[in-house]
Amino acid sequence: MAWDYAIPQTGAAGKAASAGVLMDDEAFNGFHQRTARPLWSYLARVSGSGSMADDLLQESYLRFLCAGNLREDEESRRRYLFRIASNLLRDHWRRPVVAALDELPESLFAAPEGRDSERIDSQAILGPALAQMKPRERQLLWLAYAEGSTHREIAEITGLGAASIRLLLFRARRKMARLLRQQTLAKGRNK
Amino acid sequence: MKYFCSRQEQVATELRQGRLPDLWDDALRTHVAGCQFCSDLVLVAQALQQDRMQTVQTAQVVSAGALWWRAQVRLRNGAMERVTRPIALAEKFALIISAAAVLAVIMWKHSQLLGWLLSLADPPHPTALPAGSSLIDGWTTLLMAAGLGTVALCAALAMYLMREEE
Repeated sequence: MAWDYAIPQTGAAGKAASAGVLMDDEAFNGFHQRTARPLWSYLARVSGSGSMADDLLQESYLRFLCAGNLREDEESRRRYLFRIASNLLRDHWRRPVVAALDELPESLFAAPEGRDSERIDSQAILGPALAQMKPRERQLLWLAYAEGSTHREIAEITGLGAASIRLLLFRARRKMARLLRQQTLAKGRNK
Repeated sequence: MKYFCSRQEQVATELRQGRLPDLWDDALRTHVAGCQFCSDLVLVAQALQQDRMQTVQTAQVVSAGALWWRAQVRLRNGAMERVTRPIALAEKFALIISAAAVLAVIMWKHSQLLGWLLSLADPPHPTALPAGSSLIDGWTTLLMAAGLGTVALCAALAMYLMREEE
């Protein structure tokens, strides 16, 4: 049945408008180029699975494009995209076991060795250290230090209270530093 | 418990700007060497930044074009669903109303229907029926006609919609 007449702005002519959207395909192409790899890295490191990162990355962009209230500036869009991805991660974790993110066993989220971790010293140390962190800790650390997000931005992306970020980050950082030092020492002994 | 160093922000800013500790001023480097908070910060931030750099380089991501196309399809499907939702709702509503009408008729005429069913099993002689006990009285005839009319109308509409779709 031809419903096109009843569906505004979904034809080829309404491409930009149909995406939600204050963004046409060219603008999206540029945005994707700047954000896709960092987002994949975030998803892969926090989820501990490259294939899950692939799936969630696609779903994040689809939801981003289908959302009708995209922000004007690039930074806001980026934060919005990361927020969608974070929500998808949380939903994925919640699906098999009905529990809060922090209550789930860490073994479920064991971060695998990075794709090149065997080849790269820093990753050989970082991989096992990340595997011993809780998903929430990995998320906070990655956003703060890999992505360089501020506490306010982290709060916006994760949905946590801005006031609690500092303390949570401090604890996660201290734990991670301890694990990294242990890994470095163990690696030194094995040599 | 203290979990913040007064120079931590300065260290974080240097790290965020990607400046290596070797390039920092001596005072800051001396501070970091002696401060547990800041040395943790430097260790963790450098490890994660390096990991990010390597992961970003090796990441294989789906193309923007494919994502754009899928988003268009999803939007289109969503719009279609929104348009057809009232029709689906109307169908459900009609089904419920029909079921309710049938139930009401059964409850209202249950004794007559029962008699009719029994008569099917054991049909009486036509002369045995009293004159006033006509099974199909005026109301029943009206209801049956209305029901049949509704069914016919729905069937015609369904056929019309199916033909339109083809």
